Amino acid sequence: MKNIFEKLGLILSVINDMKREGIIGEYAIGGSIGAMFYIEPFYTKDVDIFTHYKQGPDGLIDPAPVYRYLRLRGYKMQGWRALMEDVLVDFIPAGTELVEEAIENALEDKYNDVPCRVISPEYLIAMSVECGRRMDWARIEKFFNQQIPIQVKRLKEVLVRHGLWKKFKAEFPDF
Amino acid sequence: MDSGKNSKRNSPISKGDLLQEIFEQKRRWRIRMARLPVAKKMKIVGELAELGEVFKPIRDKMIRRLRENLRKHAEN
Repeated sequence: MKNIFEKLGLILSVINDMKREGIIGEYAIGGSIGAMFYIEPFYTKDVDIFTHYKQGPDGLIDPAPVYRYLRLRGYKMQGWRALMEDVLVDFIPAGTELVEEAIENALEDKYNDVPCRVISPEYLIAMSVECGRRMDWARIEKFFNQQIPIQVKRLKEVLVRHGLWKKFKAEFPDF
Repeated sequence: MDSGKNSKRNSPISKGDLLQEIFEQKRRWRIRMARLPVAKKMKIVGELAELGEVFKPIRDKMIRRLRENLRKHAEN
């Protein structure tokens, strides 16, 4: 992650190529890097890209075309993650309705003039509630404490729709 | 006689007030950091990663020593 400042633009342009060539479907940046488009910077190990994988003939998602494409572009795999320009990139399939919605409603942004899509704060919070680890709750607190413009009504709708409202209220009773 | 400025400087501050002031400044600083352009934030992420690499061997050594000490205590 040392070179993320210079490399993220390059990584995103490769991902845009993958989308254009039909290797992946629509995508959006999420996780820590996604959150950092809104909140203060902090240490993280990888870049999380939420995307739609192609389906194989058996109806299951097939990551093979993604791995094959990345290898052709000279990138190596490290476990399930791709090592792109010395940065670990995790291509996470849209496994739940919440993630699918988050990708669909992602915001168009730019990183050093490279267009990209970033998951909106409301969905990043909802996804953190779904994960529910200590670091996820801490990240949600950052969204609330750092005066990030959050659409409260929309956030509540998303949480209620995906059955996360009670879990969220248990942690933030004053919300 | 003390001027108004000096008497303000010398007035005792309670630990509670001081802590509150530190927290408030930290909060304001974090809000400022959140408003930085994304590219600048990524520069900071890179610097944090570099720092992590510098401190990792030191941290690992400390953990190793701590484990050894704990093992010795457990044996005695």
